[in-house]
Amino acid sequence: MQFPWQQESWNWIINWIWLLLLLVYMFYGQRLQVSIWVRQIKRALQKLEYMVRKGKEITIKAFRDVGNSDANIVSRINDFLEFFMIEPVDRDPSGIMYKLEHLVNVRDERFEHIVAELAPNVSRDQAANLENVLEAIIALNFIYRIVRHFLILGEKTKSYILILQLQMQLPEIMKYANAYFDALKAFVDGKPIGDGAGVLSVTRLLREHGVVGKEQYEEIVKDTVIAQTKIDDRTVIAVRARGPGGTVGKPGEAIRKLFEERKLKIDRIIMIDAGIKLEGEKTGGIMEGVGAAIGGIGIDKYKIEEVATKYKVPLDAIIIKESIEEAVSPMRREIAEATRKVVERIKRIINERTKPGDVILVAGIGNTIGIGY
Amino acid sequence: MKKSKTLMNLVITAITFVVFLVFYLLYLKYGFKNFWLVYLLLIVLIVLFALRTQPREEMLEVEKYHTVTVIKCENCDYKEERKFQRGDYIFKQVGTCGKCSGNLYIDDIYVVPPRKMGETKGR
Repeated sequence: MQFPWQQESWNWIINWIWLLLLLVYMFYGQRLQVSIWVRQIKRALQKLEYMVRKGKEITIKAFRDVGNSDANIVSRINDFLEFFMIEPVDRDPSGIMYKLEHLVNVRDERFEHIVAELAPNVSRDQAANLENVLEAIIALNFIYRIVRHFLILGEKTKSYILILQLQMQLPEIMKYANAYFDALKAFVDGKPIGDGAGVLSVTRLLREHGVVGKEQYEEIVKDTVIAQTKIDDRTVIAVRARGPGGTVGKPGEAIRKLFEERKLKIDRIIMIDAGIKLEGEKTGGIMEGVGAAIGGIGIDKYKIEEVATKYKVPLDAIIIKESIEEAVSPMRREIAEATRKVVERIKRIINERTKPGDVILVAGIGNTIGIGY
Repeated sequence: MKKSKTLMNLVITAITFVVFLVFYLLYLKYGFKNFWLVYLLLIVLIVLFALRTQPREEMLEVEKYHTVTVIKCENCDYKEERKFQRGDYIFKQVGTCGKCSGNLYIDDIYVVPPRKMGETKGR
């Protein structure tokens, strides 16, 4: 029999080290892996913290730039950072859209109120931009709080699953955070964002047909305007949000009003929106389909579908492909160029699917920041 | 960056394979039994791989793109590109054309990567 130390050279020592490593890996491998993930999450959290801190500085500067020298501005903005909206109960879904609309209106009023308080001397467009700035910093802060919450919870409970899920979703989370950070800066400067592609397309169409300037538009509901023109002997009524301040308006309510209150006989609705691009697809690509092309919480979509179904009006949808990050970031060249192609597409739909004398509703959906008339 | 990382990983894997093959051949031919060297090498390689697979966080880019404002004339083909200025918005009237005295307006505002950003130009 040979003892380990009688074996040749150092083999026995290395054998023991190897065995020890194997045992360590067997019993502590998962913990080691978790600690690597925790380190990655912490690094991302530091980055998020930086974004929130910088974002707050940008927000405060934006309010100071418009003349607010109040010393309390920092604490007022800090207080508002954790603003939330509790969605209505959905166990009894009947009438939920109207409850949701009420809450959204109240929420919008709160934003308007805080901007009016912190920046009393700004124009309506500037106020709308500042509201967007606040929304972006709230979103950014929310991402930071959620990541921090799950990291601490995962560490506290030593939950492998919590940390794993967070680490797996980290690239996606950071993509959104970067997009909101970019959006924040865009909102401060009033730059158009990717989401405005639908609005820009419709405005280009109207300008081509003689509707130039703010005075040719009518504010039908709050922050939503309409304009009318003739294209190939058809009457075209366009709906978009008010600009160039950052608003999305209430296109659903505007379209409902045109049908229900103004009793217009509309033959076709064409909706244009910036939509979700799938991975591998080109930004600025255009696709066409049917249905209400509008995102958001669902209130506008519900109203448009309601009237379209009630009056049996066909709904055409044109989507300009862009990712969620591109939608909230400053508009990219490909998207800006796509809006010209969309104008041609709308004209083709009008020519092919309607007849002279028809009334067509064209709705450009999206945020109007940086987009005038 | 990603490609060079993959290439380096491939090189490490190839070297590992060759080293193990050499040790195996030494064992077959000369009865070389000092396998602690192989174990040591294995540990070094595992550590090397573990370090290399750690994702490196990209530095936070504060300004990734330049924003360009495109100005056009309503009457002629005059076009001008300049850096975005605060207060610019699409379809804003920005003066009169030097060529035909028509109205100048902002036709586009978009972002381009820094390398694509040209100097202010007119035609």
